[in-house]
Amino acid sequence: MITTINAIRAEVAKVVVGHEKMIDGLLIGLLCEGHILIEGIPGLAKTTTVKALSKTLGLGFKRVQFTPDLLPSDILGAEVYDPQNNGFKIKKGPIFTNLLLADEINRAPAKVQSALLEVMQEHQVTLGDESFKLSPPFLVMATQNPIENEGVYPLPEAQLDRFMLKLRVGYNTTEEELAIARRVASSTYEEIEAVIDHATLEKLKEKVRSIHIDEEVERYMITLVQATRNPQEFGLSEIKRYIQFGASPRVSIDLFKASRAVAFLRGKEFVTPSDILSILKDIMRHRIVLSYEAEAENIDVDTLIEQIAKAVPIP
Amino acid sequence: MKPNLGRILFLWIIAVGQLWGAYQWSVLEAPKILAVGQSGIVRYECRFDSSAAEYSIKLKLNDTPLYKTSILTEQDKVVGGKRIETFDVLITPKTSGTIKINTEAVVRFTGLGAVENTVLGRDNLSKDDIVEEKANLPSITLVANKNMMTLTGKLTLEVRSDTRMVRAHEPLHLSVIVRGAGSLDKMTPYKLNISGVKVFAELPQQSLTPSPQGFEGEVSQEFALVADKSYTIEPLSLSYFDTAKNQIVTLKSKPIYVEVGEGYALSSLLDVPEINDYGTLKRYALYLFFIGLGAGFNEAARWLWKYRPVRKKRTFWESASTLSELVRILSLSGEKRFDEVIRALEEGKMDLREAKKRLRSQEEKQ
Repeated sequence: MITTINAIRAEVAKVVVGHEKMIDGLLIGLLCEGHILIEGIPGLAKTTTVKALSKTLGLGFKRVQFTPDLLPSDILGAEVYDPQNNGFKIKKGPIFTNLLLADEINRAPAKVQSALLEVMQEHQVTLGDESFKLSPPFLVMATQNPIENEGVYPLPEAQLDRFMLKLRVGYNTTEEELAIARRVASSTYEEIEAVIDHATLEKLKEKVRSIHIDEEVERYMITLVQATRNPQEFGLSEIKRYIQFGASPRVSIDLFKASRAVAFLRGKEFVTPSDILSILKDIMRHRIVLSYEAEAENIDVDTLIEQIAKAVPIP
Repeated sequence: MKPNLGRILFLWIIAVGQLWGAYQWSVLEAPKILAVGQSGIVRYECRFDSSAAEYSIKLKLNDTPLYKTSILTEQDKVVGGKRIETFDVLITPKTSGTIKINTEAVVRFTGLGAVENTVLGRDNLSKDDIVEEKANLPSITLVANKNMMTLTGKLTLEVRSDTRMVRAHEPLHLSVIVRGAGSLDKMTPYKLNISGVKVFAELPQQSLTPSPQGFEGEVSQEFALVADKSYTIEPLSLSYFDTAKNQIVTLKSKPIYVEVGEGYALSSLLDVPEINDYGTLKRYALYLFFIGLGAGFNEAARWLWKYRPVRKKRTFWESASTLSELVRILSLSGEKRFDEVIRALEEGKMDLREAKKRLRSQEEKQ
């Protein structure tokens, strides 16, 4: 099974240099059926990575560029008048795909974001009187640009909670950037081939679900989540004032799922605390609501998560 | 009264007559015979009928090929309510023979209007307010005798030296002084030419004041004479036309014998060097030493900076003191490159020291 994963990685690596963490994050999302929010400045190969992954998996891929004048029907589809049949017919939107890249999701107004997020939760679209089930797998990968503040509509906390992971994409290393520049300058792109099919993907998901989690480790996960709600109980009174709302139960669920996927990607049969910790920030960072004081003092949520992880004893 | 030509002519004659009749020129004193180059005084007098405060007089002096006139003194006085102005004019013939000397003067009458304008500060003073008229002074005739000499008058010659005995290369100072009254302004400098003697001459210094004979005072000239052997300063002569005796007079100084002794030794002429004073070479050597020292310090500082012990960058996992802490720190970083170490630590295949060593080698490779 791990060879399949490595084959996927190798295919993606044909067009994407570095960004292993983002690729792994996407794979985790795919294996756990969780949606991914990717935050990073423009030009860091976010879209390229998603496209490459979709090709590798042989899945359908659509990309929607979110703009302030985007309407829900632009994504979901609409009933349109058919003059030949003298009636209405359904025109499906780009949501009807396996991998949807919602580029710059925070540029669209709340009604569009809500329409998308509803589908993310229900995996179902209702157009007119008819409801359409989305064919699995369905995965939304949304990107947002952290450096712009004007003309953007930040996602509300309730909607952010629906994303399983929020990945932060940073710059490549010097060597990686050199390789990118050489590759682009010489236009030597390799063709990406699909290495798995839908059935194989389902088998991989089944395998992930079978990864064992010891009860102690399970409790460790729950304790980590609870520590975000009541940090003072773990000797972190000083950070209590920075956290308005701690992580929701969805975090616990996603932590269970994602840690299994991490263990699987690492070629293990069981989850260890290191698997949890390695995915902890990506799962929690968009779900902990910081207080005004934290904003004023420019406290980073990742730092708080690190403190919480330090305070909770590893089993 | 009707204006007619006869009446206007009458008034004009009266007015001009009044003007002309206001003063009168005369010659009080004038030489009859002069030698060429000799100066003599002509005394002109202008006598007014009144105090004549509105009048001013300016003599026009001449410098013709025959003679030259220059003003010596001017006196203005009022005697018995009448103004008398006297001019002493120096006349110097340039050529021999009978010379007729005509001198002119400009008499300026300042009218009441001009005075008023000046007092009130007006700037519209027109030429009409001032009347100028030319006055021809009485002419005089004199006979200029021949004279070949440039210098005239009554003169004396003095030649003196500060010493008569000098050492070799030691200067002797010689002063030549011509005193008296006459045409001293025309005196030419002396030139000394003594065999075996270096002569340094200054330009003549004149200390003269105008006088009836021309100029009165003295002309002095200084010399410095340097020789290594004894020498004699030959008599200096001065020839001039004596205006009192009416003949050429030649004055001669006495010869001056200068004894030149043995000169000073070169070493005795130099200043004795002070004990603490560095010579030029020593000083420059000292400067070079300090410059070299500075350059050496600079180079040493650069070397020390280049090879200073640099503290290695402390990586984020260095603070881990236990295995679980290291696992936690590495896992939280989420970086894939630590996966191998994390796994080894979890499986107990690696202790903390080994793990850090491995991580350090990974960092160095990067």
